[in-house]
Amino acid sequence: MRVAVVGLGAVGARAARQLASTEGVDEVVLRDLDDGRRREVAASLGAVATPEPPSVTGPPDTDAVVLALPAGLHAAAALPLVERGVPVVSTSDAVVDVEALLDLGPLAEASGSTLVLGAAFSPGLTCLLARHAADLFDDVTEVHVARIGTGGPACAHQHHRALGGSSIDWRDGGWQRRPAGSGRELCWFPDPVGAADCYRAGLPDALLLVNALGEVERATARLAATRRDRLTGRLPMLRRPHPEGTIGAVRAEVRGRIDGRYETTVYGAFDRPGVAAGAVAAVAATAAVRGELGIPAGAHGLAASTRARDLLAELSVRGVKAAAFTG
Amino acid sequence: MVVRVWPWPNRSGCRHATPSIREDPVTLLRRALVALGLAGLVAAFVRLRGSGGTPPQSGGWRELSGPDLR
Repeated sequence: MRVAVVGLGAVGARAARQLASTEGVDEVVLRDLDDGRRREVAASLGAVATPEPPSVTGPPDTDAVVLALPAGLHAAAALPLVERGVPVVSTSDAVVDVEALLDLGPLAEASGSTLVLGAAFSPGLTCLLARHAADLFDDVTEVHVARIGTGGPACAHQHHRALGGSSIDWRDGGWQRRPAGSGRELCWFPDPVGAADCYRAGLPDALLLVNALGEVERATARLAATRRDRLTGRLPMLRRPHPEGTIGAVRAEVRGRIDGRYETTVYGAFDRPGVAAGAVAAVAATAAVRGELGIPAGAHGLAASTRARDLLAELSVRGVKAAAFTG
Repeated sequence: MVVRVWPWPNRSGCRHATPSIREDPVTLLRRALVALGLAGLVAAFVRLRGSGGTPPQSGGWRELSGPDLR
């Protein structure tokens, strides 16, 4: 199996590392505009890595492609691959990317290609957790996801942008846009992260969850933020983002009916966001090539997978452990 | 104690007058003590009333493994 990783930031480099250590992956093709970064990642992966210089302009000729590019570039990069029927895994958590990639859905369906959207920490891991929880229910009425923490600098920029825009929530059969930074909710994440105030933000999770789970009554996504994050969310970033975030966490709360009773299930996970996002992207890419993703042709998030449990088990083997809230 | 308020229009709307309010220091002290006492009573009432008893002492996060993921 040959898999390409386009963009070698915090998430792309981790995805490449995960792919290089996956049984059955013979070659990991690396693409990044930064020569030094490309060489550095290739050297750390050994013989399995094949760095391709920027002079190679065509789309990668591989069995699957992981797009770990900055926000706004994913749809243009995915288009030629989808036309060729190559499975594409996008790690973008930007609303603009997810909306543009969802528009490629009919094309992907026609070409028999699987276009996996938001295969990262959140969305991505949150989608798998929500789907795994939703599978317990006869009827899902509400899905609420939340995230704390950021990966690399691009993720920190995206976190900042998300708090400066507006949220997209699904409520009673329609989309609602509310100002980011509003709607404070105290969310409990798996230990050792614990509780954090989370707010509405420009996150694409609800788009993917409603796309996958059908018309639930409510679907929301929230992002943990400090007072300074909310205050400066509508300004340019005042200082350079950190090279790598500290430990983060996600949670997915699903409400619905089981045997006529109204129940709530909460799943969560904690890890360094960049590491977990890389693992999710790598697992999705290899499962797509093997035909084990459980997602039909077209553009879908991981919540559409009928094999969310298997994917979570594979992530657990790779150190990304999910947990259930009891009590 | 003399508290001056400026500018302070007199009845004719002119600002030349400077009224002064004379207050007995003992009265002022008494009022402050009464205010403090009332605040203490309210705080004690709120504190003693409680807000829902003991928080949950069990439960928490349990790692998904084995049968949860099979």
